[in-house]
Amino acid sequence: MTAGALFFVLAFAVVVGTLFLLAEGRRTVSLCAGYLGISLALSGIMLLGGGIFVAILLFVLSMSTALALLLYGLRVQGRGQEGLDLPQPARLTGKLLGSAAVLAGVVLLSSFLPVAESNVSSQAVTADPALLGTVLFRDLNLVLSALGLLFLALSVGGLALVLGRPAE
Amino acid sequence: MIDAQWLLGFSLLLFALSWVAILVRRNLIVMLMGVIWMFVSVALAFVGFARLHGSTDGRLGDEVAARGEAAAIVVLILAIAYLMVGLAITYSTTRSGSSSDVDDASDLRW
Repeated sequence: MTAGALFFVLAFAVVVGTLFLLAEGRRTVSLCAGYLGISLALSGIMLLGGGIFVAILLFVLSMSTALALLLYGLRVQGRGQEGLDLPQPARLTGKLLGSAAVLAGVVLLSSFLPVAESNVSSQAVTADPALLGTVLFRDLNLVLSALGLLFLALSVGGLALVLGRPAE
Repeated sequence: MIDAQWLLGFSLLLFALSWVAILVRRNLIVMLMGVIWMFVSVALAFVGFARLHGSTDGRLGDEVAARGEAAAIVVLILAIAYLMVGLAITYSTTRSGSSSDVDDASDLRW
C-alpha cells in the first residue's frame, strides 16, 4: 500500500471516527478508546507528513491524555453521577466503535511505519535532527520557554484544584 | 507521495470537526478532546507548510523543515499545558457532585 493510500485511509478513519464519537460516544471508556484511536490515526498522518518528532510527541500526548480523561471520567461515574451515561444500545455501540478504533489505529500505525521510513515511497521532508536540535535549544530557546509554560500551567492547575470552591 | 495541499486540507477539516465537537456537545471531556484536536490540526498545518516550503534543496529547505517541525512541537507542548489547566478546572468544577455538563457551570460564583 502506498503512503498516499494510507493517508486517505487514515484521514477517512479520523473523519468517520470523530463523527461516530460525536454522535454515539457517551460512556467514559468508549469515549477515551475512540479518542485514543483517532489520535493514533492522527499521529500516523503526522508521520506520513514527515513530522517524525511531532508524531512521537503526539503519540505520547495521546496516551497520557486518554489515561487522564479515563481516570477523570471513571471518577465522575464512580460517584453515581449521570455524567456520561446513556441507554444500553448506545453503550454497546460505543464500546464496539471504541474497540474497533483502537484496533484500527494500532494496526495501521504498525503497518505503515516501514512505508514512512522509506524515502522512495513517502519522500517525506523530514527535519534534520541536528538542525532541529539547534532550532529548539539554541536559536529560539523554545525548549526553555516550553518548560516554563508547562511549569506555569502546572501552577495554575494546582491553584484551580486547591482554590476551586465546590458549587453548592 | 502525499502532497502538502492534502495535509493542509485535512488539517482544515480536522479543525472544523473539532469546532463542531465543541459547539454540539456539552460534555466537558468531549470539549477538552475537541480543543486538543484543534491544537493537533494546527500542528499538522505547521508540518504541511514545512513540507510545502521545505521541499527546496539545500540549507534553506532544511532550515524551513526544521523550524516548521519545531513550531509544531511547541504547539503540542501548548496543548499539554492547556490540558493541565483544563483538567484541573474540570475536576474542580465536578468535584462537588455536579455533572460534567458545562451548562451546570454557567453561573459565576465567588
